[in-house]
Amino acid sequence: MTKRFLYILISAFLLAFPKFAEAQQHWMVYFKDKQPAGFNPYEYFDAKAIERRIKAGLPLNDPSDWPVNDTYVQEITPLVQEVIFTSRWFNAVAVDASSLQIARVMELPFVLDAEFVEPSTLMVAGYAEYDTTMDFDQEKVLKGQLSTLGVDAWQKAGMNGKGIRIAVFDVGFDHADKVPAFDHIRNENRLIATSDFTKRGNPENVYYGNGHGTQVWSCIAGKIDDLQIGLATGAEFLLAKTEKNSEKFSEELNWLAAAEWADKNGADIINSSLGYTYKRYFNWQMDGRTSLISRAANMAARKGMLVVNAAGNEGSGKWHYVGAPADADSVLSVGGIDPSTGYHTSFSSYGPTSDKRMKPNVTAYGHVTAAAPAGLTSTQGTSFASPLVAGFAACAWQSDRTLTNMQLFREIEKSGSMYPYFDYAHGYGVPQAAYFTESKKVTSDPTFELFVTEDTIKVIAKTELSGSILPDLSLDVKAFTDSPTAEGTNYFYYNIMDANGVIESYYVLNVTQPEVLTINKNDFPEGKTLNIHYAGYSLSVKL
Amino acid sequence: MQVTACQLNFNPLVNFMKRIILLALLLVTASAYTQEILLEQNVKSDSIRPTRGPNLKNFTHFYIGVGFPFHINEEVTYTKFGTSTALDFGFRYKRKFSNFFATGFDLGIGSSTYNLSQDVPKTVPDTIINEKEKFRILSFSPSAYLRFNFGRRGNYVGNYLDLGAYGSWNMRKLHFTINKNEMDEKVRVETTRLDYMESFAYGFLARAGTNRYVLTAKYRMSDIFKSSYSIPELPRLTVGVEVGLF
Repeated sequence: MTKRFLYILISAFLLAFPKFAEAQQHWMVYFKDKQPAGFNPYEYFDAKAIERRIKAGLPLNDPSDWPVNDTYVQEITPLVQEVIFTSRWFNAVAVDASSLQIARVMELPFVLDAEFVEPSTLMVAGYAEYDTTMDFDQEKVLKGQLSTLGVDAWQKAGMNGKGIRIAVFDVGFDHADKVPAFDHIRNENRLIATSDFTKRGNPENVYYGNGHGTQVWSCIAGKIDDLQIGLATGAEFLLAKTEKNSEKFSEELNWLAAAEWADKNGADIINSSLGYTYKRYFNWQMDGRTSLISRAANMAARKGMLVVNAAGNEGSGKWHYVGAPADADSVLSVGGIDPSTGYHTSFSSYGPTSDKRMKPNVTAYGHVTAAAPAGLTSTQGTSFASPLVAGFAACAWQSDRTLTNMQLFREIEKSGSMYPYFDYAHGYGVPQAAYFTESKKVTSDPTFELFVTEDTIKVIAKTELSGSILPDLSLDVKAFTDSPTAEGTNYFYYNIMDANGVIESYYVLNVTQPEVLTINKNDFPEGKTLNIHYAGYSLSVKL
Repeated sequence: MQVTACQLNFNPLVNFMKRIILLALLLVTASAYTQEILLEQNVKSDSIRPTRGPNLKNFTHFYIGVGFPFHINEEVTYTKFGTSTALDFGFRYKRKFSNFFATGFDLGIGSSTYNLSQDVPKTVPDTIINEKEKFRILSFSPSAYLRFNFGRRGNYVGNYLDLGAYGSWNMRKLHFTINKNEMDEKVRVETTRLDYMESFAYGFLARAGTNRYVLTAKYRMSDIFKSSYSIPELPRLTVGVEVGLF
């Protein structure tokens, strides 16, 4: 009895602590230099990758694309357990090795540094026949998740992402090879390539493990008969399985390998609905420069790809803020709004980054109807807001192929429903198709007025009860009139910003009377700015 | 910051009361709204770097655990394995020195129950055979430990190994027997003030944890029974599980 008990305890211990059972860990080993070694971009890259580089004005023969020195790799190989892959972008090799082995590797004269990367585990699931029925709420959400982004305007303009190649990185695309929501893509041979970066040799099968990626993909491009789930139904796709389980146990190395693969295969957009938070990092490390995945995402942007990433689901948790790589400055981070309220949904992670940059950049529905492996389903998370915006980005890029990825990034921000107002829960709001399909300058008449005295600023909403108080135009007031649409028209957004452009506090009010807000100017030191957005109209005033 | 919202004119009395309430609120909070606040975030206060947290300088939490005492030598079976238990509840403090090393202390209370085997020859605490018999010791146990953490991580407890030592004050020592009388009724006898038991104990502890889930082991170095009574010792090793309440 006692022996059996001890055996169970020891087994449990080894299961709980695999590090004790197996000392091999994942490492990134960085090299000091590399040579061109006969690199021919026309042989290495897909034609679309060449096209993207030319359009973006990027060099075709860039040192960061040169192969890693094979001699270095060969010298390291016998010293470690296994070489996983080589990273051209970071001039590094990912390996499985013990700490002792890494110590020997570090002695090699061409090795610059070694970085520990967390390992992970696997979980597999199975599903039955496909169910396309929806209840009233699911239909309503499905309609809203696209209409808020301007599906009608895109359809009217004939934009569906055609010609845009989107790489989707996720935990698994269970049954996506059979789910009817992707029939149109498969039938038109627009699924260009698949790769499983969680397995050695990167096999092509990604249709197992988890249905999260299936749902995410459907939010970009899903369509069943005439029922549209995502906006980019005409786009081309690359599917990469980069995680083995849920987000918290996943791999950053795989993400980097997949990003280089996507670059090589001509991806224009990367959608990644994942994030790394407290299990690996501290809040103050969310500066876009610390984590490997954020550096990789920025590198992907430097290669001309638009990287769209979920802000994260830590809004109501202790972490609270966006994770990595949503903290990267060149990543279009997408937060979630609640369809039932029209503003920030509680779980959506907040900004700013630890170095006080605005995140998320934009928002979309955080509660969606998606095509799961077994049928249409309701699901939630910024994981699904991100692909909605990735689909939007594909349509926007199709509408103007002269834009570089970062120009498109800025244009999507400008198309936000609250632009130029922003806060750290909504970014610039929900991107609007009308911005791209129409004039790019949708004017909104003032929806509120300011009544200013020496000591106070009073904000009055323009309603029947508001009387005829006019704004005092002699003040240092800069009015913006290019907000494209009114979204959540009864909500009054305002923030207090410091002289460096960093928001100190921000609010959303439900307006129940015309006199919305009174602020005592004497309570603020000089240099603060009051920013207001109400019913499509934004305004800033110095306090 | 003072941010006030405007009010509509209603009944004068109601308005007066509202003013009073508003004034009171202003005095207390220096801010008030009549609009419904749907979202409020203060970035400035959020941005202060904390020092308390699972992988920060100081971390405190409560814990609850259950252990099972058993004899290392299988030839000796004074207690019934599985029904003898050691329940623990306590407060734990951790002081981080590096990502790898931390130290701390526990203040715990415990209830250890030793269900005594009635197999012949019975020697603990005497040779009398009962239907059921057990000791229960209620104790206060402060302990100190060294923690060795493994792996890079954020504000997360992670995987660790604790090694430490504990002392116990056995506040209450009880002996129970249950037997049937001639009427086939159960007779439960509780004996307190057990002079043959020690009031203090000490020993070593080890814990292997992953975040809040912990495997625990305690080895008692001291004797439970006073040596002058020559009573065979109860199990020294207690192995169990613990959950951190955080």
